[in-house]
Amino acid sequence: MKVIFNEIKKIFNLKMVAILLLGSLIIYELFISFYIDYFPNGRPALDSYNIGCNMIKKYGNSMDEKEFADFKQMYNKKVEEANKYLSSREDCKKANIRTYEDFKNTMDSSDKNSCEIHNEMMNEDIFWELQEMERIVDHYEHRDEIVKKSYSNKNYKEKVEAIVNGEGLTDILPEIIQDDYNDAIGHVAILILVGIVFMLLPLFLRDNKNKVNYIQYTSKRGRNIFKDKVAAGLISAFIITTVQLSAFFILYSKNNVSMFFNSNINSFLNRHLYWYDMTFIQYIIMTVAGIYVLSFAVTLIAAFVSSKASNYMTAIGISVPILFAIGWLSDSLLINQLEVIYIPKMLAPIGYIVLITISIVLIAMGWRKEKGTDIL
Amino acid sequence: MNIKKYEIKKILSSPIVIVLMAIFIAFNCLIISENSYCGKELKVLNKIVDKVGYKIDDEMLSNFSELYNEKLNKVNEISSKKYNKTYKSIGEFLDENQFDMENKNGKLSKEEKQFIKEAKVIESYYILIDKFQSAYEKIDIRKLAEYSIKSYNLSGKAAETARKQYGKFEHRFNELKNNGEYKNLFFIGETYKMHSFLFKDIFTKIIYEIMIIMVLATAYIINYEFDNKTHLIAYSSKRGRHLIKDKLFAAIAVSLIVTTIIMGITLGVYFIVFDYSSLLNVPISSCFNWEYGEPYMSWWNMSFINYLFFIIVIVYLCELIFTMIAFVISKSVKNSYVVFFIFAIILGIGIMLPSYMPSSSRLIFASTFTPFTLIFNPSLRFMESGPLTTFKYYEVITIGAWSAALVVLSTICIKKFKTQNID
Amino acid sequence: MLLVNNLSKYYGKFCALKDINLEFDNGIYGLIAPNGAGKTTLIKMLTTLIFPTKGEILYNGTNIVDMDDEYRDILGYLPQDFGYYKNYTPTQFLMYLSALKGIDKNKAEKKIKELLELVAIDDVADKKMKKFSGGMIQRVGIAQALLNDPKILILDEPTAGLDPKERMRFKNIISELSRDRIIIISTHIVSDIEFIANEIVMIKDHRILYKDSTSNICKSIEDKVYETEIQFNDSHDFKKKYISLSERQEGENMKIRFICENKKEIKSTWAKVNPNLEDVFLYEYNDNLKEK
Repeated sequence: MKVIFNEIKKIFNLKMVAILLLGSLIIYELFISFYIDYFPNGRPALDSYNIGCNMIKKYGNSMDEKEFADFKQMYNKKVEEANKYLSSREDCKKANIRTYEDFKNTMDSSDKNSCEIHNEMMNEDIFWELQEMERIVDHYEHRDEIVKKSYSNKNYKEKVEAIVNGEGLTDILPEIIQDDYNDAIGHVAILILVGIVFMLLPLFLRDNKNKVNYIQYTSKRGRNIFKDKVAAGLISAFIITTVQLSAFFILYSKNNVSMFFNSNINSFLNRHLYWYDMTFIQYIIMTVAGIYVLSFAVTLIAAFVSSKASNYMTAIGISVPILFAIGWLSDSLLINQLEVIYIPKMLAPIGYIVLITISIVLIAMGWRKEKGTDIL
Repeated sequence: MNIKKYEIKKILSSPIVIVLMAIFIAFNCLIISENSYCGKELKVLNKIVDKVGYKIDDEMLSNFSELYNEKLNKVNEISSKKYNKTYKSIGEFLDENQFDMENKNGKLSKEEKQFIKEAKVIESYYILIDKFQSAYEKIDIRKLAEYSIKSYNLSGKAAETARKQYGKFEHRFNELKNNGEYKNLFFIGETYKMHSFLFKDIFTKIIYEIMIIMVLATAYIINYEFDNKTHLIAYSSKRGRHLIKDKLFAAIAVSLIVTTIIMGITLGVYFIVFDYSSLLNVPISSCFNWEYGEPYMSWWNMSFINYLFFIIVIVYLCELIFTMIAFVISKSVKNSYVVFFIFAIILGIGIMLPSYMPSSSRLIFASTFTPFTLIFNPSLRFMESGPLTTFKYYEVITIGAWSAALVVLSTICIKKFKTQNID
Repeated sequence: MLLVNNLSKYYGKFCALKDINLEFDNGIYGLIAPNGAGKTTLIKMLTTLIFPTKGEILYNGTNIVDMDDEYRDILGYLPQDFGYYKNYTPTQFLMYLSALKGIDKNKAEKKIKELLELVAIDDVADKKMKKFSGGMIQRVGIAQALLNDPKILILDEPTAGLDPKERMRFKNIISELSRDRIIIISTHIVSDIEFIANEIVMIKDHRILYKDSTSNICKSIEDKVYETEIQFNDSHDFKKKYISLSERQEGENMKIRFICENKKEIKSTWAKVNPNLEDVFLYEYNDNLKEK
């Protein structure tokens, strides 16, 4: 245990931690802060978020037909408000826009007057809100058809059928919330993996280069130190992942989306459907679990590379394409689009299993080789 | 010379350099092949140009119209045979007979379908000439300037400078308009986005790939003697600490070699897949080269091949700059492992720098004169490229200043190394 | 002629060498000092790897730092602990080093063949050094130092890792070479240089203690070295009084070689012996030899 602790101390030496912090900060600023600083990003995203919040407050996580009637009434009231507003403006009268209906009909008009009015109305909250509410009404009323139509592939016909017949579809989860989270967590995953590789590549290489391995391998613990180092690597990866994720979620809490945590991700407002009927918070937990698994797999791979490479150039050189490959996988399957319905249900689990298997086989091979190899 | 050869050999005989090059080249080829589906359509433009030329003038227009009508008539011939109907345009034909075009068992034979598809492409070019030309004439650089200044939130002195630069660009734009540089055929930017595919997607990848290899290789060769503990022998030999110069030379030579191999093969494959043979001399500022908001408008009258040449030169020079940055880092931090990551951090800071500058001060321009901003959008080099980098000599100044600074820094490093204690 | 002039080296406040003055002419010099006395610091300055804080080293009147490559051209250096390229053969490695030493390729090829024969590793000249023994690597190191036929040859622990036979061969090579060049050998193994060195340089507490021929140095403890037999039981008390130089078991008793500085204490049972270099070494660096 003491050996492991010492190895961990070696991994977290001050210089490396400083570089890791600085690097993380830069990656965060370049790729992640956007999803927090600019959430909700412009309009109608802002309206989508606000209306979603209000709906949750009023109806809870799900909206039944009765509540929908109430929502529609609210919409009608808003339309009246808009009518009043439009008819009170002189310029609108001139352009022959007296009601919200007129306003909508002249949306694509090339008439100069109405164009100007449309441009100006972009500054009025009410028209953005109406647009979003209309979308919600439309999606709610036609939710079954919309889902069936946009997911007509026979591979997931059964699941779509189940979603349509289930209760989750009436849950409230605007797409911007899940999209924003997915994009952010995908980048966080890559940040974590890069950080782990950076911290763990010297794991064996440093001692091998300094020939400390002669002393280590002839000590009482002997070549078992290989296992200690791997254990130290895994513990360090756990620490790095936990710290990075905590930092991210503290920042993510600024997005203020906790009211949607209990909404089903297969909501009529969400863009994608998923294989599992889980709540948003469950989905978040699933991605977090996925990140831990990925980071352990990457740890084992990095440890293997570190024990085999003869110099740092080789170690980094091998890691670069590996990281690109795993990054691409996490982006397209394992984290970003985890269990999205148009990707076969079993593909992500298989992906994880393959990755884990590869990493375990590699490290086991490394260990067996190390046990019997000549140390030159 | 002999020593330099040995140092170069040390890098190139390292399998990882070869493996990385192979992986990167394979990756580039994959990206190219993923986009090769439009290759056939692109060939059609070459055929058009072979027949009527690329320069749009009255003679060409009449030739083109002849060519087009010929195709249209042929399509109508087919159509009247199979459908008993003729159309005003090929587009109209396609709209009505989409099913037969897309299905194997339709009324049309394979050859006929091929012919019609090609004719449709010809029609697109024919129709778009007018549209692009008139749109081009409507471009208002001042409006563009105000719009982009607003979208970057520039104010005060910064906005002033940007306006002034756009003013200068307006001269060039007027020249461009008057000399008819824009009146040339090129791949339809809107549809194919070939300019940004080649100069942004492909070139950015090339640049970063070479950068990765070169930073690794430079750190490796510079610290090689220390890492192998041969430093006591090597630096007490006759060549002594001058060896570091040989190592820098080797890094630079390898950077040229690696750049040539990766860029050479990638571009070779690119131009085999995509036929540019008849378009090499088309001015890059053609009104067809218009993908997004505004067309690509270059500061100089450059043909496609000129432009490609200058971008290639930029890649070579930037890779040299990166190699020298890696050299300076390697010489400043002894640990060859962290060199790569420190370089990455500097790169990140370089990219972020402009967004941290006050948007009212001229500093914001200074912060864009870095090789990191320079390579951020290779497709916009030598072009109107937004309010921050629309300077006629942006590329020349950036590369010149950084090269000079790095030569000085490297010299300081070499000088300092001469009097350093080696333990 | 190599002249060391008032040489001092400080690392921050720590003094590694102080006011060293030395003169080297053609011949072999043995550099003897205990660990940490500043031996390696002196050698690194002689090889221009580190630079003096004060003072200078002159070769035929010119500062070696100013001579730059001219000086290193006539320098051969075998570091105490040196690396090599594992995937190179000795020939490849020496070819590379001869390029660094500015030796013409054709000349180098010939010279390398000669040298590898000289140090008797010509049979593995084209095998990768990955699996070489320590002694073989050491011989590559010796060959490397001789590549440019140096006027000044500096060898740091050259016999480390060599077997007695190789040691012998090495001594012969060195004697042969010493006629027309300066050879400085640093070592802990006094016997290696006792008989071949023209002069011995001893460093103590970062300063020069002796620079003289072996016999002259030994004179400094003439009449002080004795041998006698004592009983094991008495040895503890005995060693408290006198500096023990060597001990060996002889039947029931112990034969001890020691130093007695007070002539009045001399006993008749003691036999006076001629001091050797090792005696001087132990005497001078005796801080911990007397039992407390």
